[in-house]
Amino acid sequence: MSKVTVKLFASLMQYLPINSTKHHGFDYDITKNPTVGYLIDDLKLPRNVIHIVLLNGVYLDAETRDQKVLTDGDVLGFWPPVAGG
Amino acid sequence: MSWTKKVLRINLTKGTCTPEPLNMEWVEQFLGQRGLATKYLTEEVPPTTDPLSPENTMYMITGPLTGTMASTAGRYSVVTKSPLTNAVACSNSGGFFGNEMKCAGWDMIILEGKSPTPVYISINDDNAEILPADEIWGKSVWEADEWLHTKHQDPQLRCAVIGVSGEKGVLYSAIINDLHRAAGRSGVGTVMGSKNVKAIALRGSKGVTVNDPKAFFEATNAAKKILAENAVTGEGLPALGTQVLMNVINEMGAQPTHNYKEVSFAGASKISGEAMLEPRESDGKPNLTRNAGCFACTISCGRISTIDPQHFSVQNKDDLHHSYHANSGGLEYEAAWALGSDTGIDDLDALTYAQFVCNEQGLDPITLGSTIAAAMEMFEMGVITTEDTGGIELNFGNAEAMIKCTELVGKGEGFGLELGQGSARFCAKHGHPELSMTVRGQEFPAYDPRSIQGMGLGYATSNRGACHLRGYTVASEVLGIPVKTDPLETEGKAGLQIAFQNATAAFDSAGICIFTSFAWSLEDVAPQLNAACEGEWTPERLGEIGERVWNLERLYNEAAGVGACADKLPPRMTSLPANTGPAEGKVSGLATMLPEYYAERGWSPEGDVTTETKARLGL
Repeated sequence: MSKVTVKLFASLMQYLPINSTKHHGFDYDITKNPTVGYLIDDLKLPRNVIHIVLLNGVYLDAETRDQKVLTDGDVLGFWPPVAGG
Repeated sequence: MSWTKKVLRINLTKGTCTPEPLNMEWVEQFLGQRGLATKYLTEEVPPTTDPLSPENTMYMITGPLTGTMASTAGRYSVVTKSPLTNAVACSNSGGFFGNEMKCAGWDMIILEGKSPTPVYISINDDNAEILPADEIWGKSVWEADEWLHTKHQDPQLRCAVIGVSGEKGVLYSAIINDLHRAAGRSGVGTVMGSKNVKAIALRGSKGVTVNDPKAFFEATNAAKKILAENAVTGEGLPALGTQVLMNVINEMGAQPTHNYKEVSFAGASKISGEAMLEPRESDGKPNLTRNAGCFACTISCGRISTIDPQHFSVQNKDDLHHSYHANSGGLEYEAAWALGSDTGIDDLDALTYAQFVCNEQGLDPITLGSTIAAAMEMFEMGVITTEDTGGIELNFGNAEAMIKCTELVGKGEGFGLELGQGSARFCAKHGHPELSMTVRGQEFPAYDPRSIQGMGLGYATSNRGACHLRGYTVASEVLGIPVKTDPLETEGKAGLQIAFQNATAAFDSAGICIFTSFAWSLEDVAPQLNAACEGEWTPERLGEIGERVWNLERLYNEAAGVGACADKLPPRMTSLPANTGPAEGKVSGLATMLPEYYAERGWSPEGDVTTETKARLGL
């Protein structure tokens, strides 16, 4: 079974499964050709809150997310709008 | 008219406190705070002045909005010539000192000359006195603050104080007001210490007036609504503070690690904003107690933290150190990366303790952490040994060693005095200047220039030395504010950096916090200034003021010998590629961006401000 790691940060931490073992993250099993958009909906993540999506550290813009196909070993990070300095 | 139009000039050599009118002609050109004080500096302090001589002058200055009901209007700046960089220094602080200064009736306090003995300045509205500070010389910020409050029997006294580090000549000493808010960078506390001034304690009861109260009420309310409805300023910053960035920057492979050798840190999540919320085993409490706001702030990004009472750093501390067991200003992202990932330490409580010591003794945690990291690298190379460190095993990841170094720098003792010179001098002394991650002698902040290209250009051109608060293109390159740009691209970054630098200089001259710029543009600032002040303050005019301020700082640096010749990054950034993450294989494209930057600034190809640009900006 292929897996990706999903990490949820800041206010999105409330969507972490109770049994998530990795820090801020958990493994997610993928079937054939799953997209980031499919994963977002499958995990019931709030699309209107998600602002930054990093796939293996690279920013995915909002237009690309729905089409982007995941592969085994990918790491996906999600954040709401955040800033600091 | 929210300027008081009054300046308090204190000559420490002569022992005089003299009121004088604010130069309103300069206000028209430079607005206030950063811009206006820089104008005073350039007119009064020759660029070749020794920063630690009595001939240097220190300006504590508010902006036109300081002390008003505009959101975040508690800011003041300290402008002087920096002993760390020899360039113009301008450090900005929040808390409640700036508004109190304005309420006492002063736009600016000028400290010139040098007192023959330790003193502090007491200001109660119009009454200003230079008083003996023998009893608090040699004491920490926290001890001095308590002594001042007791002596004046006024719980609402606002104090800006230096720690022992500032007395001992540590070159990156901060001025701390309200116990844990800092005018932190470039050694402004060191300059105050060189003048034998321990503290400024003030109380104001006059209030601040504005030109058109009704219009001001409407303008500030509209602007506050924007902050409240913005997801960053309304939700993100209050909840997790600046530390929310730790995981973002680490996940994208831009996290400075092991003295900038690497771009990601395995322990980042343990020292992140999210980790500060997790209950700990010993007492079931999280590191973060609550968030905190400065005067008039409707964002409240500040962190108030406690250290795990079982942690080794606070065990066996006697009663004099009781504050380690209570709340203080907790970790900000800039302290957390410098003291944490850069030194390879993932112990949240150790970092919090080190942050507390920075509050207690008045230190810039960025330069401190980065200097310790450089020393760690040299220790592991065998360039320095325990003979140099006074027995400290200074390996990466050694939290006890980092804490020991922090305490020694805070007190200006032993090996700490050597680390207290900053990494540029420390690395040069030991024959490895290339290991200092600095521009103009000031240490980098928290973003690797190989992974976020615009920031490398920002560091190289920053007038006060490497800095994130002069042109924060991270907002665009990482966070998508106001629009997302590719962090790995160099194209377009010159224009982006200039836009950020100019706008930031305008925000810094207005009396408000730069964090408002995550939600506000100059279009939102202008109506507030227009209602508060005489004259017409359009967004275009504010943008031009920002550009004028930037060029004025640059001209001063050119004359001080730290102009274009210092627009460089350490060789590690331009020759050692990033080793992991999206930037793997990349170095900084500074050589590509810099000529574009000079051209877009209207400077010569060599990076000098041209006669035409000076004439255009009225300089």
